[in-house]
Amino acid sequence: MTRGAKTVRNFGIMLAVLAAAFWQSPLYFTSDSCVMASMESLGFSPCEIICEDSYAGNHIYVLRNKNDVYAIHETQRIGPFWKTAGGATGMDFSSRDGGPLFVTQSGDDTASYIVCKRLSPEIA
Amino acid sequence: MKTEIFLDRVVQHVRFRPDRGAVRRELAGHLDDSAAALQQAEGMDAETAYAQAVENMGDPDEIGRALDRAHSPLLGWTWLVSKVLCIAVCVFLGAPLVLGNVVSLGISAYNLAEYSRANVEFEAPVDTWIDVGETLKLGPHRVAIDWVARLENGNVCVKYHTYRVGRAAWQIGTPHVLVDGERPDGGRSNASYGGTITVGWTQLKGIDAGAHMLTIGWPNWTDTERATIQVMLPAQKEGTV
Amino acid sequence: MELDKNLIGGSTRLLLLALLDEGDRYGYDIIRTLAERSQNVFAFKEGTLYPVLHKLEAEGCIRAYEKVVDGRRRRYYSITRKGKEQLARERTQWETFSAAVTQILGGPALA
Repeated sequence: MTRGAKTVRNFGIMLAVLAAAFWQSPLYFTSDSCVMASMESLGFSPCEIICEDSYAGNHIYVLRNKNDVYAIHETQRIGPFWKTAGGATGMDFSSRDGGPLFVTQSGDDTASYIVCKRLSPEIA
Repeated sequence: MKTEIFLDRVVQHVRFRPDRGAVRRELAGHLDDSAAALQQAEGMDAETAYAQAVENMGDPDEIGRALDRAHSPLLGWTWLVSKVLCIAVCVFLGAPLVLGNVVSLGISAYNLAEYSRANVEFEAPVDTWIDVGETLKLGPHRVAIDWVARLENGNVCVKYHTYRVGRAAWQIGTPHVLVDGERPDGGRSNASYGGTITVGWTQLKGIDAGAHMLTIGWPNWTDTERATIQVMLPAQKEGTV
Repeated sequence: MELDKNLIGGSTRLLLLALLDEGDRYGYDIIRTLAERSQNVFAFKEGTLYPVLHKLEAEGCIRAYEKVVDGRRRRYYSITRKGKEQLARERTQWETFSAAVTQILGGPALA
């Protein structure tokens, strides 16, 4: 095998291994594809993104599926890729003050997402 | 010219340094063969033979430059870098990946056998066995409900195994079980053993002895034809507590 | 008889490939065979062989491996499939070329 052929082969092997590792990992190229894949794997598909916003480098999505059930989901950036960072569906989601949804979760977890025209979660 | 000086002179023209050793060795070998033949054929002594052999080689600079043209440094360094990177990727990414998958598959196979109908052990004797063997398609997940066992102590155990077809950002979790369409009141315990194929069971406690319709799966899952399986659980056999 | 270097330059590859097509050889062996078979017409500077060999190797026409014979470690070359194709092509080229030259030298009498 000539040197040139060996070089091409080496890069080919590298690409194959990297592709396999990427495919096996829960990483995605874009934040949107990450969210849609997460929702599909949680049984929420088919759904659409109503609004999205970003804070602290993460993206937050509000989604609605065909049964008019709302869900929020967050994605996290890892290098140039995206990973899911959790979310919730159902709960006390209802439209208020003209925004898509308003949710509070009281008790010890005071995580409240106040969604009006702009998503700005405040996590205590 | 002495052989060492000749060889050094030739090899200095080869810009891709890693190749210099091999080139030098090859030319040195040639000089050895050439000198040996001269000594034998014309009875020269070693020193004269080598001097003649070097003379027969030609101009070292010309040879060196021509050799350099055959050993492109660009190709040389690109190849070397590709070799190092490839080995690094294979060792640090490829090997763990392959090993991880093989081990995971092994563990899954073991679990499937360990908790199969033939091998599983319960805390109470089994009253009724129902082989189900049906698979639900939920997005990228495939969930196979293997069997349902009703124990004499009133517990009902549902065994399943799940695997992925394609990428899935989330695991599927334990199947829900509704008794006659409702959430059962008694306790519930689950266990699952992860791997390429996740093997698990869920056990409902305190189901009364009558006949019931079990709905196993994910009743709230949208976007699929069938997200639950119905299993008819017959009444508990007579003669048991 | 000292041949003009340029005459040889073009056909060196052909000669090397043809020799290696017969069997695997190492550098010094090739030089000696060329000299013997051509009755010393081809007795050029020995070192100039190696750049040609290495170039052929880089192109993939020949392959190199090391072998130890009688305690001596030598670099042997063997022809590849691509090399055989190249050899056939260069052989045809040479035959066409030499036939043309012969014709021209022979003049109208040979036409």
